[in-house]
Amino acid sequence: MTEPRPHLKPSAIRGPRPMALHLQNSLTLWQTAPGGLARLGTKNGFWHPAVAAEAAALADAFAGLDDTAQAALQAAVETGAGARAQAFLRGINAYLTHPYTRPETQASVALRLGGAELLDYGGDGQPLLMIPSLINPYYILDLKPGRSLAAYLKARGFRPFIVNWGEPGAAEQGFETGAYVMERLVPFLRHVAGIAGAPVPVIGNCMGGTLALALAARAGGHISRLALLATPWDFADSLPHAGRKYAPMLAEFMTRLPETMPLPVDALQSFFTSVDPSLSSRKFRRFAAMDKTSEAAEFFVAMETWANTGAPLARPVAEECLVGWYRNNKPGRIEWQVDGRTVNPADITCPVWVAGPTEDRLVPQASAFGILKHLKNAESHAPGAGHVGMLVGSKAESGLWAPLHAWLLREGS
Amino acid sequence: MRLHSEVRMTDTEDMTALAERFLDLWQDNVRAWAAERDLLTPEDLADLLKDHIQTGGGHD
Repeated sequence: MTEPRPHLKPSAIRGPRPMALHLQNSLTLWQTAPGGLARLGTKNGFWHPAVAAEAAALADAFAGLDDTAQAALQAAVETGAGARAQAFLRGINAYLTHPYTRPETQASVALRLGGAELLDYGGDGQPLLMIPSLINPYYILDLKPGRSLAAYLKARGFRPFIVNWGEPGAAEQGFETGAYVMERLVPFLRHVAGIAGAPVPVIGNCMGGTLALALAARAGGHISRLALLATPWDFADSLPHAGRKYAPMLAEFMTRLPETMPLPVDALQSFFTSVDPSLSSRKFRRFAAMDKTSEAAEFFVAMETWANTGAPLARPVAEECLVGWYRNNKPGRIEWQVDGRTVNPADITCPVWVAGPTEDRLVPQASAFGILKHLKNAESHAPGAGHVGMLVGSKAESGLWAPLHAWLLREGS
Repeated sequence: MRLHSEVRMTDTEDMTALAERFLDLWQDNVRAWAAERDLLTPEDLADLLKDHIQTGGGHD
């Protein structure tokens, strides 16, 4: 008897995005593999030095085969490549039909400004403001039970407030980064500090940290200490930076869009995909083989859904970041303007904690740590993780949450 | 993992293992180049692998 085919969930899951690019990458990778076997022994620079020894070992093995065995190996490679391509598709199918839905955030809306909300996680702890990136949803700071920095801090005496940027509304469509800082973050910070009756800690993640730096430079009197998590600052040519290489392509692409159209999510997702075009094949094949009832499977679905549920980026912000940040390195050169004035980290007097994960491909550690030399009262922390794994991965508690919590509790600097 | 010299070439199971090793290598090579060059766009990926679409047979 045939089992009923699982239905696609009527949910926000639309990924992996852009679907066509993920399918194309997998197809390119696995369709070309059988032809690659015949080139194993080449020394023309095709094999990266990191895998050259394995390529040489396999070349020796291949050369030692007789014609019949070589044909058998060729057939096995063709079969294996096809199986990997199929497993990738099974993984995507399993993801799109997986029943897991992330529990709704247990927070109330404390303040709403335009398309943005200030979420209050409640309790009677020390109020704390958390600022996520504009690019992906806020809830990476509260992904799911056991994988939530906000819940971790709430359980330890804090009352987190998180900025939910939402979709850019009519007002935000014309926002530059400075407007996000002055017209959204400053009122949100004042609200949280008003509840506390004193300056409050602020945590900024990724681009949210860059905005938090400007916030601290403009409204530092309301901030007791500032934590920056994987926050890009220095976009200098000398640093490895995937985004810097991709930014000109996106900037060129934007010139072909209608004048006020926000930068589409899929354009940004194409960048994330291109950081490692073999990644989605690996992870969806792994998911295909996973126990779908396990926490690991739910975590995978939660992460993928988060990664694929971003909002489009307001056009002026996109232009400012792609050209002003990635091309001209305005933050790193202390030329970034917010509210008509340069954002100078030297104006920030509160203690600052800068976390730069060692394996971050999106915000290289050197870019995050580029702010340190400009700050009067800062210290660094280097979690052994990637850009997102640092926040929600299996080592997040020991690698980030606990050290951050300890720093938040520390007296003075 | 066994060394290639230990592989008995007539064994289907060994051929499958060797093929999987090659496919891992193929994938890891793309990953390594993506890291080295910061990123590989779809065009970069096709450029990297295109010789292998066109090349048939012959082990050089």
